[in-house]
Amino acid sequence: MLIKTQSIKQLWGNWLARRLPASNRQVLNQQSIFILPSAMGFGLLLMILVLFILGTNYQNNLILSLCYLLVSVFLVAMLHCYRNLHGLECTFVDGDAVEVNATTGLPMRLMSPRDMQAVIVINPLSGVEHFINGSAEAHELLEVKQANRGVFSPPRVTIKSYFPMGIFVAWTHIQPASRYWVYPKPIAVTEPSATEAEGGEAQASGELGGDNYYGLDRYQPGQSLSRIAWKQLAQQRGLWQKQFDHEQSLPATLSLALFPESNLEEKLAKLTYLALSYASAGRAFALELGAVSLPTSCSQAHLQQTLKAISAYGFRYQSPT
Amino acid sequence: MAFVISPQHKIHFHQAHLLLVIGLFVVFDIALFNQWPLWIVLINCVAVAVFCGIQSGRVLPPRKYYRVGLAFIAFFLALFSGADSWVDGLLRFLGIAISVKLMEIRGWRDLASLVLIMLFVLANSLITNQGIGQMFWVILALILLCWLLLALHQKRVAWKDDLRLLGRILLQASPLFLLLFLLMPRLSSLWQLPTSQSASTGLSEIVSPGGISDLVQRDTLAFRVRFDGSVPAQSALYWRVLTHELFNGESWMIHPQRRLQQRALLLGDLPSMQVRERQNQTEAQWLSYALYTEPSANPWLYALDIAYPQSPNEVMLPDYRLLSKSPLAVATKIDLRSDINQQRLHIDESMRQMNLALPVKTFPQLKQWAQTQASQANSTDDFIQAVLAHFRTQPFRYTLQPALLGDEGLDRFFFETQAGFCEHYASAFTYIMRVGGVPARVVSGYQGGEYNPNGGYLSIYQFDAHAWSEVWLDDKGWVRVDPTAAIAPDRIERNLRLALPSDSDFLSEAWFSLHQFSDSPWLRDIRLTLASMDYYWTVWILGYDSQMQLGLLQSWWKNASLDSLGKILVAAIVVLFGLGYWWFVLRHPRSALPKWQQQYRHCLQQLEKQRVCRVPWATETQFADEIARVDKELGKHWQELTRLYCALRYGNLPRTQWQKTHQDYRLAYRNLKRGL
Repeated sequence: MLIKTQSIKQLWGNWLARRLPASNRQVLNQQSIFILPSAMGFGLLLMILVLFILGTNYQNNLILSLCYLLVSVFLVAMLHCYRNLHGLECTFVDGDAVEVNATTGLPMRLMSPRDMQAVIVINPLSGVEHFINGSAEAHELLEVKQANRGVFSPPRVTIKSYFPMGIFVAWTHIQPASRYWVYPKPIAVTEPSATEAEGGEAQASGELGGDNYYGLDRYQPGQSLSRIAWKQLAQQRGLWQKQFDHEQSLPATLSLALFPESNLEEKLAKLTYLALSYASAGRAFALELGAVSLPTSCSQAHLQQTLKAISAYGFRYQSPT
Repeated sequence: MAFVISPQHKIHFHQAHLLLVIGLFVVFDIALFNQWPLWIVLINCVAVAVFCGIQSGRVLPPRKYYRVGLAFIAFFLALFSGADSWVDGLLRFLGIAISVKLMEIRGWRDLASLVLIMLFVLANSLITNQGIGQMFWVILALILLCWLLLALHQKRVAWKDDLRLLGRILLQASPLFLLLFLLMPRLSSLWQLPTSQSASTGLSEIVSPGGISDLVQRDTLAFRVRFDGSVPAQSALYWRVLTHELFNGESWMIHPQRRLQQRALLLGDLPSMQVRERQNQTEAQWLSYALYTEPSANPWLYALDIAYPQSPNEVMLPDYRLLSKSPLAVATKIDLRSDINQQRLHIDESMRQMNLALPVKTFPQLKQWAQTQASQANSTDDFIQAVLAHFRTQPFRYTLQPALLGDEGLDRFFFETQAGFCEHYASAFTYIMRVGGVPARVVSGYQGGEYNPNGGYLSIYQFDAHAWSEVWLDDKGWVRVDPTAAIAPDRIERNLRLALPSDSDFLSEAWFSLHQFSDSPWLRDIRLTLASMDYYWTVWILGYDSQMQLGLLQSWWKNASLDSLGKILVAAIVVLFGLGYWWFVLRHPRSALPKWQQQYRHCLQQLEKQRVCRVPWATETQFADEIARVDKELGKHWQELTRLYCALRYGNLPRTQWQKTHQDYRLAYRNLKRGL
């Protein structure tokens, strides 16, 4: 019995995948929109039949005309309901890297050639419903949360509408092709060279960025702005970067080889910690992780790339169907 | 607007929604006022008040046990509230069910069932009352229902936008609606459903003193007649409906034998009496007319003697009365032809005996007087004239409120009070005739009618009800004698209102009747116009049947038939639907930009054609200044346009100022276009 229901779900998933493939920019049309009478719509159909029989039996033209009016309104409502969603353009973008068990929002933009009326966007993961009425453009955030590290794509998003009078419901399940990365929860790392060298007085808890200033170095684009020698710049001698002593002792390249004793996940978690703390201190670093090799930099984009590489390490990304 | 909602199956009613619900129920109760007793309407009002209280949070919603209990109470109330038929009882139950349901609405399913039940009840109210007013209220209730659903699904009430959308939907639905109404084939009744008709007002099988004068208090329409030629004089319009041949001393009733004949005739066991047209056709006075009957539970038809039925649906009794074989539960049109002064020569022995029978109860004074008159007269004609002369010369009064006659009955009436209504005079006259050995009977029906020049038809109302007498003369057959003509000739020549003294009880039950004001010409015109609106409504909309459909088709194609109706309808619907689909869906969608922005872009494109491009990092104003530097003339217009454009786009103007700026913008655009 269980196997049977499972295969129905799979069949449904496969059929949907053929009809509504994943894409980051989808315009709804007949291929994508499903429309059926709602429960009230079916009740109305039944009521129309009852009224037709009533009017015919009593040979009452007024009841018959009421019946015909309801039929006409029923059909016109169907056209309006379909038209409400037709031409709706949904755009998705990739999300940022986010920690496990933290919620992030994937941006989604809806644009319609006419005002959207009573459009409901349902995020099946969180069950949250966004309600859009009376505007031609809407920006929503799809909230996602994962308990595991990896690269994920959001589930199918349901867009539905009961416009105009709840007689018909038009809906679609679109699959965004966007991805979001989930990096592991950082595990704090104590400085390996510090604990060996000084015995831990000056570098308590692996604090980076000490004050052992020893010289200046030419500023390279991409390096942190917090190290700039402003006095020199004010004297119009150009951009110079201060150099500190122990920076040389901390690893400038993050790689799995830094932590020979941990298992893979712990290693990745510690790498994450290092990357985050380097970035907050403004230190540049490089990344060597499997096939990914990032040059030294200390920009935000570089941090994101690092986190994404950490999240994706070991996974072969399957684009969603 | 966009906001996040948690998946809720509970409907939230804003304050504006509550107002809409109140309005809806007001209209709903007005539409069903005639159908329901007052206490159901009151229950509805209470339910609406409780509902508003619950939704605004002031009243706690009733718990489940209360609701179930209320449902049971509702059921028993409806069962034992004295409904006329089970259809009536069902409607009362539904009325109470609506109230209970309203109080416990929580989710969309509840709303759906409430809406559907209300639709059903509204449709049922159109069974008994088919007037224009009733249809208006039903349509209004439907519109308010749609509005409520619209507003609830959009989670707000913006009444202008909602009404505009609703208007658009109704407009777009109207072609299909008209098509269906005009061309949808009419099926015959699948099975007979009982009507929930209350006792119909109108003539009764028993004519007793005070019976007709009661009927005369109502201004309900009895039937309408449309003559093919000119309308005969009022005094010739005697609409014969019932004959009463059995007298029990107080009331005249339909003889049981006649009743048996009627039943046999309607069932088809007895053939309709065949009347031959007279041999000398030059003397015949033929009248062709159509009867438009109102819904009635009785098979009696209204006809001018002698009426020849035009279809096998109408059958004739031996006393020259017409009956309708198919029930008159709906308004029906019946074509008839009458030969006005043709003699009615049919009589048989049993009929003669019936019409000579005297009741057990005797009126000695009147009997003696009648016998004296009969013996003194030379012939039957003289006898009749003598009696009528007595009516004319003695101080008999025509009044709606005669004194009660008590046990002496006709004696007291004829010799003491000498005041009565048509039934008294007819009764007395017929009795006198029977005493004198002349077969006579009381006939009841309607006399006269009001001609409406707006539609060219006669309206006969309940206050035109009348009773008169018929006597059998050996040489002339059944002859009509109306004693009222001797006492109050105005009643016959003109109408009842003018014949009665002004302090009488005429139309006492119809206070708001416009008939009261027939003296004032413009009020009378208003009443006649309303009456003809009702007439056209009855003929064209209520009476639209297969015959009229065929007529409509044949006015386009000569050899159309009813079978082609279905095919034409399907073809028309497909075409309409295709049109609709193209209009709604396939048309190129309007650009997302508002018109004024499109206009600005258009100007930019025109400039591009002239090799002047706007760099991406320049603002609109900078670009305009650049142009002004190059071309003074063009630059001036362009700067003006840009200034207004920026004000519209970025200025965050309030509505009135925005409109004004928009107007200036349109002007500037036109100037610029001319320059370009």
